[in-house]
Amino acid sequence: MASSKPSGDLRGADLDLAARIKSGETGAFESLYGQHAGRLYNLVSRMAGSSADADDLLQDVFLLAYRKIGSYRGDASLGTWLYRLAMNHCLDVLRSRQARMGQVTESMDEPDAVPVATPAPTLTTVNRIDLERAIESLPPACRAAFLLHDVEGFGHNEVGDILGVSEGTSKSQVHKARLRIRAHLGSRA
Amino acid sequence: MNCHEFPLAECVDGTLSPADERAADRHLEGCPACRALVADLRTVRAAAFTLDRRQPPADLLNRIQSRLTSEPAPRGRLLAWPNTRGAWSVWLAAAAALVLATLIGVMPLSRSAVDTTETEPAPALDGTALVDSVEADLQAAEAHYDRAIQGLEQIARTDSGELDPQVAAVLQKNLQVVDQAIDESRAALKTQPASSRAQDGLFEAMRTKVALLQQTVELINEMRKGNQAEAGRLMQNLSR
Amino acid sequence: MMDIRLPLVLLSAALLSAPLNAAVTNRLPGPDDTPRALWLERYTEARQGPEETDRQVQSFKVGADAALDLSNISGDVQVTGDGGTEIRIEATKRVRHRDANEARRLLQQLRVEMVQIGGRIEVRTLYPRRNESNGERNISARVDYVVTVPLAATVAVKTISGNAGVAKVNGEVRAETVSGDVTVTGTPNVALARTVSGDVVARDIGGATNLSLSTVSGSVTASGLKAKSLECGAVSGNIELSGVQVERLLAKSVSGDIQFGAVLAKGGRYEFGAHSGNVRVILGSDAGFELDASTFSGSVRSDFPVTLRSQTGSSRDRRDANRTIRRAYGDAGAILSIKTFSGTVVISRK
Repeated sequence: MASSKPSGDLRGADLDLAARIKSGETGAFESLYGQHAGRLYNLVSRMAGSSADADDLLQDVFLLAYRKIGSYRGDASLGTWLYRLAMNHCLDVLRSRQARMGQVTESMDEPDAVPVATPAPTLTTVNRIDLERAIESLPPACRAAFLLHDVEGFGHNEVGDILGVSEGTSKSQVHKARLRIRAHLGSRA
Repeated sequence: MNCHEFPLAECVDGTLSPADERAADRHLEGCPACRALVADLRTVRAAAFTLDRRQPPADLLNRIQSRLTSEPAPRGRLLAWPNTRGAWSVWLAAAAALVLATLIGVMPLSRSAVDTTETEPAPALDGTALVDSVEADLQAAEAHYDRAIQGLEQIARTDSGELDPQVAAVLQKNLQVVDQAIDESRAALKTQPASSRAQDGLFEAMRTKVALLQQTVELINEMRKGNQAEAGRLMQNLSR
Repeated sequence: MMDIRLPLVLLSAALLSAPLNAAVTNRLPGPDDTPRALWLERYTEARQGPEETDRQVQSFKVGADAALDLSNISGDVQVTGDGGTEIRIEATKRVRHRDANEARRLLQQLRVEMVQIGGRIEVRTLYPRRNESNGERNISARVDYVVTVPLAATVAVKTISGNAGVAKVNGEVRAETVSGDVTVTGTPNVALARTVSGDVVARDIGGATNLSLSTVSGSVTASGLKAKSLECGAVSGNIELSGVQVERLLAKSVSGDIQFGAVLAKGGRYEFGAHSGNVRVILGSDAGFELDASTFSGSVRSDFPVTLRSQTGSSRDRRDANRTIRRAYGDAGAILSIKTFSGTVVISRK
């Protein structure tokens, strides 16, 4: 079933793939999985903090994608749509987990509650394990922005797209995350 | 400019306009506190690059598919999934592009999650559109690395006087080894842009360069700390 | 026949009973007495003056939360675990100067600071300030540390110019130097063993969880290890792993070679990556594994007769036939993933 859209029309290719997934065509879903699963897994596993949760989360994401593919309209790329779905799901899971444990959930636009780190500790060794732990200690929305920007390499506008916030909010969240990580790593030294 | 006005986040990201950058540099020249903070935040950012790329287990797609077979298709029909025996089939035309797509960013060495089992090429998805979007993503990833590398290189260049000359020489020599690897990979990509091995080579080398530069910056910070910085320069190495 | 055998038996018995940690503890600070070292000692003395030394020893009582955090500049650091409840630090300061008085003065100014915070002992070497030493440009100063800690302690040591060694410590170990070697033995939890210009040696570590070894321009050598996961990295140095039993391995280099000879764990994951370095994997005949090996411009060879797991029908694959192998062997329990850019890949049979 060759695409009737001209090549180079990226949105056309996305809509085409979405249509084919929806119609249950062989290999279409696998194609979506093949394109995005690797990078998404890297993301959800650090949102979740454990690999068992990560496996479940990734399954959830693709199941959700399959169920909701009919609602994809092509206003964003299919990748962005999928990432939005994934991050929203991860944030929901994390926040309900925190609520159950009695923690207050943070809002993206909250003023910075972290005292601005004094320039005292200068980082020396950034051990990977310490960094992973520092990331785990970040509040969910902050963590999301950091993972998307600094780990996955999305730009602030893309991060904003995915998380449904402004580019400015993305910048400040990433900045907040880096400061918190720095404080976390500095206190360990 | 005082510290409150200093555009810290933009400086770390390297997104200042040339004029703003000059103003920022002037402030940094006279402010060790902000200098340390910028260096630290760049280190954190670079360290984020060197995290492990975690990968989904190879059978995850199978698990998803088996959960879906018990679900109605979006339009209400039951689906029969092809028997792919632990892998999924990818059209030949789009095979290379899809493999590339999963390698965006930092390249995992193992692609056991992706099996490019070739079956009969079925004319289906127009692979070209896919390749275009993949290529755009790859260029974005490369640009992302380049920015991180530039930021770190700047610190390493201006402040490497803090390092013991022998150590600086070893680091410099090895940075050249890595740069050579980057150049070779780039050249290979020009001749075979679809080669996943050339892609792997490039991003792995860039990742190593970021890690090495980060290590250099950490050492520079070490040398600066306290009394030790002074003595380090005076110190003579007795036995090696 | 009998006559020859007896001495041979005695000889091998003598060799076998040699202490296992001989290789570790031989880096005791202080001059060794090989001819070259003696010459160097006399030469250095002539050029820089006699050596003044000062030794201090301090012990700290610590509990279950014992932790050592030692930061040195020039000099060796050796830490060994024992069954006690104390952290004992022996610091030997060594300064050379043509003027013995000046040397002694500098010796005093070269400070070793030890601070106890709960179970955590922080040790720092502090050098005299430049102006305090009258603008002296030619100070030769080092501090060598020999430390014993409780077996369960966590240990973080670093030096810049000198060797770092940790032995028989069960807690988390970090050992770093810049110009020097790092040696870890009998340490099941090595979060970081790293040097820039020097070798990393890891030996005789049973029942480890994670080990991370890296160098820039030296070599990484690991033998007699049993661990859940092992991570090794080098830029221009070689990585040599033998007698290593791990479930997860990640070995990467840029221009250095990687050699791995071991028994694969069922379901283990072994990843190798090199740019221009060569990768050689040596396995036993009964190994079962799934191999995914590829190179851009090098070549791939396997001694193992393998069964094809996937069809390689397209013409593109035929051209790349010696550049990619994707095969299974035996019960295909473990996964071997080997990627190089221009280095060769060889899977050989023991």
